[in-house]
Amino acid sequence: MSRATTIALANTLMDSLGDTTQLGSYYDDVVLELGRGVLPGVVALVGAGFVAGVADTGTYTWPTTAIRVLAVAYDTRQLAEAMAGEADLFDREWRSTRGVPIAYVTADENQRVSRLVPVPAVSGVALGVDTPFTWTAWPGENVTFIYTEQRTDVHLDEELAVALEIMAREYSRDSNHHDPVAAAIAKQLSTLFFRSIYR
Amino acid sequence: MAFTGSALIDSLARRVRDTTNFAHDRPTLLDVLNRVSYVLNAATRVKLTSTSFTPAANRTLYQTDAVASGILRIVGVREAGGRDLLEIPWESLVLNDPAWLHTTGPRHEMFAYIGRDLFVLYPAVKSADIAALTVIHAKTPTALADDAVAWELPDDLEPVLLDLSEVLIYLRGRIFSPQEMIAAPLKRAADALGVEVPYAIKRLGEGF
Repeated sequence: MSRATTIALANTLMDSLGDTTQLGSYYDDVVLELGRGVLPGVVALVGAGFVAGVADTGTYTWPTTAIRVLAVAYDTRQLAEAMAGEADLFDREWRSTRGVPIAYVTADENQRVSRLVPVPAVSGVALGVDTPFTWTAWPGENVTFIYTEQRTDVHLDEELAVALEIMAREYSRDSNHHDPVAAAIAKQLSTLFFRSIYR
Repeated sequence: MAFTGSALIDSLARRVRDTTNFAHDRPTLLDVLNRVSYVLNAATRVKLTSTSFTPAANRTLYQTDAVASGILRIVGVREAGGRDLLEIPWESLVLNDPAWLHTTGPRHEMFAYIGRDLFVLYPAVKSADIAALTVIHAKTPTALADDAVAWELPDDLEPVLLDLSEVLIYLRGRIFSPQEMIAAPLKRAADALGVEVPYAIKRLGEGF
């Protein structure tokens, strides 16, 4: 269930024609694209993490492996996603007003940052090594992100579809094994397998 | 009759006209058959198993791996008394209760899947109310070997297994002519799985 086994599978299905360094690069690209949600209806590679809530701090950086945020919660409450204009209607001073957050804004913020609205008035309970799956006493007033994440191990049943996708890219590029027909078939087989797994 | 690993390898070799395994060795054919088996059970969810799972006090969010490794899809969560939890889309949780992440109640009522890696048991229960649940899930089929051990999936999926494996072996050899060699088994497999045949494969018969 690792990056290496998927690359090896792709190269086996290419009868060892592939450039394994390039296949690895394509593997990373495919995982990022899966996380970005390029396949309709496929929500793959999901994780969750806490970020410490800090009094008077409105902006929170996503966990390092996050690709696309699916949900944000403050303390126990899932926040509504809002546009800056909506936050403006709520309060013209929304970037500094303190309170209990009810929404988050990602548009117009720096990359991989979400801003809570209003800004938390208190700091969260110390997180230590707690994660959303391991805590024993609820660490209140912190931020929970649920997101798709970058990984080096897709699920075992997804490996074939991913291997075919990276084969399609390898056969497409200019090389001594360039083969547009094989690329098209590999691409369509990958789509067929993803559709089968995620229907 | 149950299909064995060795018999399936022989059948696949015969389909691709390589009964001596000259072009494609038996381990390669076996690997392809296993890979397709995993996809088949993820798609059809016919091979199910149950795993006992004890939730944590006050917690709603869990990783699928916490139940068991190799879960392809959770298809149900059941209480000891036999009551099934209602499955809902995870996006509905917030509509029902914005504080779903930490809501507790006397018993679990619903479960929701987030992608394939996380699931939610809603509401959480307090420590005094914790009871083991049964999670019913599609499992990764046991890998076939080149021996007489039977394949785990139902016999009626054997044609689909061979159709898809055959196409993968043709792709490995880059044998695309006549094009119906690929188009016909793929069409059969896609129909059997109830998924749409991708556009370019529909066009295979017409040429690229």
